[in-house]
Amino acid sequence: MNLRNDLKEFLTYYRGGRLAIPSVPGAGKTTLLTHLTAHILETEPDARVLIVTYMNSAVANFKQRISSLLKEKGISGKSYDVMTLHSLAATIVKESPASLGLAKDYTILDELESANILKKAFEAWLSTHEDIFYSKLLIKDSASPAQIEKNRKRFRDEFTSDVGRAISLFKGNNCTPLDIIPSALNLPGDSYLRWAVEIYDMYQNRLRMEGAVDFGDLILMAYRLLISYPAILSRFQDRWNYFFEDEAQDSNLLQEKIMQLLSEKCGNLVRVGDPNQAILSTFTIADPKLFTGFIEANDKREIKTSGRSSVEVIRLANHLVESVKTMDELANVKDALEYQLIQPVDDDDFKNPQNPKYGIGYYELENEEKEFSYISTLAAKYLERHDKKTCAVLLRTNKQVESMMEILQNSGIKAVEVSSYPAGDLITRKIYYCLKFINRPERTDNLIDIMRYVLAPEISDVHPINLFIHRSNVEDILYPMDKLPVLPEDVAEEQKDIFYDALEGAKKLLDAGGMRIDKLIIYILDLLRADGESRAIGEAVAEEARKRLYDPGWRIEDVIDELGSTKNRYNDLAELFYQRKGFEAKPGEVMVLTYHKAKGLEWDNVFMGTVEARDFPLLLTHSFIGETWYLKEEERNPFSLIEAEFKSLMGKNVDPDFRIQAKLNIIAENLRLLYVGITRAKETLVITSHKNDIFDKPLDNRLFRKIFYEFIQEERSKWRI
Amino acid sequence: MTPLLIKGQAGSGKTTYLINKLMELTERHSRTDEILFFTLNKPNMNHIRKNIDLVINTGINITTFPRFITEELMLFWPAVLENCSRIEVKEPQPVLIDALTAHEIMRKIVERLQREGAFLDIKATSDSISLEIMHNFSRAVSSLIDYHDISNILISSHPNKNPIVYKDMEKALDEYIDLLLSHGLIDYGLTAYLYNNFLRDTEIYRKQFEKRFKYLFVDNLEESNPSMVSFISSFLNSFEEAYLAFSTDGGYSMVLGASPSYALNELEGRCSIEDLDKSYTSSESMINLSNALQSNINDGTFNIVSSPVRLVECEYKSDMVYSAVEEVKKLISAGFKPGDISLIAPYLDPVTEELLISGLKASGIPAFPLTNTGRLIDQPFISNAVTLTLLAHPWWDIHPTHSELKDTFTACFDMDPVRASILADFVEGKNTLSHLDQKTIMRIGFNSNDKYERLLDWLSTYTEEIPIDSFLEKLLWDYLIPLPAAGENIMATKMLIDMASGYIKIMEVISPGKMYGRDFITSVKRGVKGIEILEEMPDDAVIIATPYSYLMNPLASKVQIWLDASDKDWEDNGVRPLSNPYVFLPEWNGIWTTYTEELYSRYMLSNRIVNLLKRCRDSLIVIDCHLTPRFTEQNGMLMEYLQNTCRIIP
Repeated sequence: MNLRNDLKEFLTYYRGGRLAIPSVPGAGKTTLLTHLTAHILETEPDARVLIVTYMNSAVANFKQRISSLLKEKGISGKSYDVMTLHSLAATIVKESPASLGLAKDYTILDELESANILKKAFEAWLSTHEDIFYSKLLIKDSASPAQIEKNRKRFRDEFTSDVGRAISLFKGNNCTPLDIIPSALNLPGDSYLRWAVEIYDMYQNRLRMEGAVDFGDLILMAYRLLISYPAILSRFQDRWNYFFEDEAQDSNLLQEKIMQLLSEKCGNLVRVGDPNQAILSTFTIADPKLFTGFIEANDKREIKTSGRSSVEVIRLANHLVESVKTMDELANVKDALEYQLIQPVDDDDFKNPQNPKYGIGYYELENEEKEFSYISTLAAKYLERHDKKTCAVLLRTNKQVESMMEILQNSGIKAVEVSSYPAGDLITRKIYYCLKFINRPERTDNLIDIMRYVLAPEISDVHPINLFIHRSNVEDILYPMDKLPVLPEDVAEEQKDIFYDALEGAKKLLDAGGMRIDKLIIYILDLLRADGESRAIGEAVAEEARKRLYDPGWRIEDVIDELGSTKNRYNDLAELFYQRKGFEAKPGEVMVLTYHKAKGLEWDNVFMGTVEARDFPLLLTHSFIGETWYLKEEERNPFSLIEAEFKSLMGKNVDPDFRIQAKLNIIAENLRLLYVGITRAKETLVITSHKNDIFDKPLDNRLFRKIFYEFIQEERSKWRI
Repeated sequence: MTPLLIKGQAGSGKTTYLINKLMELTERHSRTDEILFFTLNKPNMNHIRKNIDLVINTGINITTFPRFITEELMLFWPAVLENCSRIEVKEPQPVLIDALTAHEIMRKIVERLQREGAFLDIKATSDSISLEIMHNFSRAVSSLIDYHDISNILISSHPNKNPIVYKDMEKALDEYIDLLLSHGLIDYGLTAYLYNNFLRDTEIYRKQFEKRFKYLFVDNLEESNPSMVSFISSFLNSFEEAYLAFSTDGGYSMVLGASPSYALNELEGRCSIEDLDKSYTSSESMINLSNALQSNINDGTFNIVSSPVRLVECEYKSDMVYSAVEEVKKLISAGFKPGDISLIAPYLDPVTEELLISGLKASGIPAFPLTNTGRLIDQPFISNAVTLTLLAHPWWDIHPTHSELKDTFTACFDMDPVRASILADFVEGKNTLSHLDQKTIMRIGFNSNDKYERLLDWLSTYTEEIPIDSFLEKLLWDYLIPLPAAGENIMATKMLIDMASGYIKIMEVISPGKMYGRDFITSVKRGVKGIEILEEMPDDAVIIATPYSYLMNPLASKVQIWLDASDKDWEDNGVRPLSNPYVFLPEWNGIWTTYTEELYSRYMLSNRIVNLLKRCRDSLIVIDCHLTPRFTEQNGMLMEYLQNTCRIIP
């Protein structure tokens, strides 16, 4: 594997110790860390490397690249580990769960499950605090009872979610309920922080009695184990002697402390990251200032060159950085981006992509609908002209992604979402249909679904068959007592054969009825001849379902419902599985995803959608999504209030204007999100926007036009091949 | 005659030696009922019984120590009553509670305490906590420690831990023991406690004992706890002949209170020694590997041996199952028999276990799992019995789900699943069952309607609640047996009836005069495990076991296949948040630290490995799985040591 010159220099430069590597997008961080690891393993006989990264998909990527590089070099052995922070925390906790008061068979809740338990804890708390809770609502005289109830529900839902964030905040600051309850109880009865702490306590109690922990607990417990038991800390300090951290801009306080502790003995800690790509801080406890602090306090060596994008794209990205630093309108967020300009590669072997003409455009459509439709048209054209290239559409919210997917698919364009495991072969979905059918075989809908999605998807003549099923009783079709079912005349012969075969399959499914759920799912897997990946996922689902039903409060109908909902733990399992395999953009299809999910990925052409004031507020005058207008003015934005109160409780300085600060933080992150969006493009970029919101009111897009449109026009006119 | 201590490593023929001595003895001495033979547990007991060929059989007391003292307690209960004032109920016999019911009683106590704010630092279910408390109790008693001292020992051993949790535990245990004692109920822990403190050393008992037993045989002395050793020591002089077998590799039941060093210290000096040095169940290669691993793990050495070990690497559990089945198939083709092969894994979730068994079965290879993880309610016949019971008791207000009704109708009415579902739909949620409407009758057919009507008739005759065990008998005989496919499930139902009887008996004592049907059925639905039906181990099947269950059975194999080698459970030391097996042992001294914890992890790992290897004659195959069922990495000590110690063959 050939290595770019500037990256090669790192290999000789690094001789141990602490090093910060701030890098621009596409600089080749993964390549660098991969080579650095291999180099160290090659030159140091006793090297043992740990790479900590952020996402499961990155883990797989690293492992695969390092192992092939080592193979190339003829090095055997496995003296390196790659883990996510959660995996590392789980490994640490496993050393002595008993010391942490953990039952041997403790469970780790995923986000969905912990959200569920939080909801229950909130409801229990609410039952004794209704009056004071609703006293925060703004009640207009003209409001109807239905309107009031709607606002109440909204407040409940959003506050629950704010408490969730608060809990992460507490845990991220090493605070258990026991740590904060005493001081919280001194707060007035209507303090949001007090409420959050009370609910936190109830939430943790529920977890405790179920022998369960959530992700925040995992990290907190790992940290506490390391600081309380020197013997265990020592064990981990000896296990590795080089610590590399990727995506360091997304680190949080405890994560940093853990890495600090582990690397203390050997002193070898390399942290790679891009402060300008810190896009998680407004809804997780990630704190980009930690990494910038590390950069300032330690030896640093930047990677400023990037070979990913064309020069035009690079110039646009740099222009965004310059604008943030110089524009008056953005004066109060000028630290949102670090002054780190991307340089194209100066090495003939690794040239940046080149375009035959200026490949960036900015278009403003009437409204969102028209904007999406326009993107769809352009995407179709692109796929037609460039069948060997990859492209993606970036949007702000999941809802927009769903909407865009539908539009693309209706236009006959092959579109995939990034939580992509092959959509067609969703084994969890198939298991769902099978279980639904087995549980309620008499319902014609269930028979139709199972025919369509599982047993006979190849039938094209769906309509007459469905009609036939609807008109009959299922028991007469499958288990006729006297007369045999006869398909209507207009169904083709081969279709009939497929249908009858499928019926036999259906009966086989029903034969398994009385089995325990896990055996039933395995039976289904066998029947469907699931193998390889589907099999592994299916078996994991079987075990999860079995554990579920061990809880006497759960019935099989509940498990089925869960399987059928779009976001469920079984799909999460499948996603975990596929994340390990990494995402691969494929030519001939359009990937649709949110800006957040685009991190770390790249495509030849990128459509940056929804670049307007509603989805990317950049001024304090823009309206903010999540603005809790239904609350009394001084009670708005509960989370920022909680955070401020918490900070002051912890003895930290609190900005008296913290509400404004919270908004400025969002603006800063939006700017970085745009930066991430731009730097996903390898060759060409299309930025789209829309003038009016859903109420047909005009949006204040002046800033976007100034930053993007004007620049793009200028660049285009100067363009020379 | 001086007692004889037979020492040797695992597989050196100690048990055979004992059996031969026993046979010799029976030839010279006809009163075989004066012989007391202690075995490790029931499987070993059965094994020995099978191997004895008796000319005259006046009954040898081949038993385990717990069973023995239980029977003694039963026999001499009046004497115990006299000596122990805490037992308020003066019945001629105590009521013995089975482990499940005992656990359930403790669980209820713990659950209540948890709600009141106890066990705040412990993240565990009431199931888990109550089990730990029971373990602490039985271990303390096994080590001759008064149960009042349990919490103090734990507190002083764990100065870093908040003592409140141990006080909470003490509260629960005190309540539990008070409840049992005052009602004349005993569980295993109490049995040992009462025997040791109120019976064993009384004059009357000792005089009687010396008259009754003249000969002593003890197998697996290394796995005995101080309570048993103390018993042996106490009566040793009164035996005319005594033979004690001790494995120098022992100690794998340390987590249950075994203390090999205590046994040696107490008894070795009083015996003459016979050393056995051969190994009959293992090979030189395996023994070399075993020694090297033991020293590397415990002493930090870096020995390498040439013993070959085949290693298969897998990513996912499903790959592991597939590989395991393939390896077994290869062995069979190479001429091994199923009974020569064992599959050993520290923990197999039910899905994986089931997949292994069915995978082997599909290739025509019989497999036998040693561990019983089964819940009663998982057996369809039991589930159906429960459903019918619920239909018969609408006043309990527990309604069977649609799914349960559907399965019951499918099985009991011999209906197809679709029509059964339709019928279930009709019945679901109804407090009183009514006749079917025309529409439903048309759909399910007249035959099924007849059967339904018959059920209604049967239910209508049951208007007043009778004790649940009687009801289940009635259900079984009146209704279930005449149905198709009842035959093979009768044993399961009989077990259910037995459990119900046992349950009622005990509850009656604690709070008499109530009906316990609802409680009992609720606990069955909650997932109570069936009493271990110790099925006869088939001669020629692949054994599937955990290291512990394998070692607790008199087993040896030609080939062992170790699964999931990276699972940390291989080095599990048995320490839990509330319980610690080691601080009760006589050799314990001091404070529990993470150093000690690691020491014991290593000790337990090497002990397991050594004992397993010494029962492996031909070869070892190791299958490693990188990922947990939730797709996260795992890495345990076992793999690390294997890779650095032996010659790996891919």
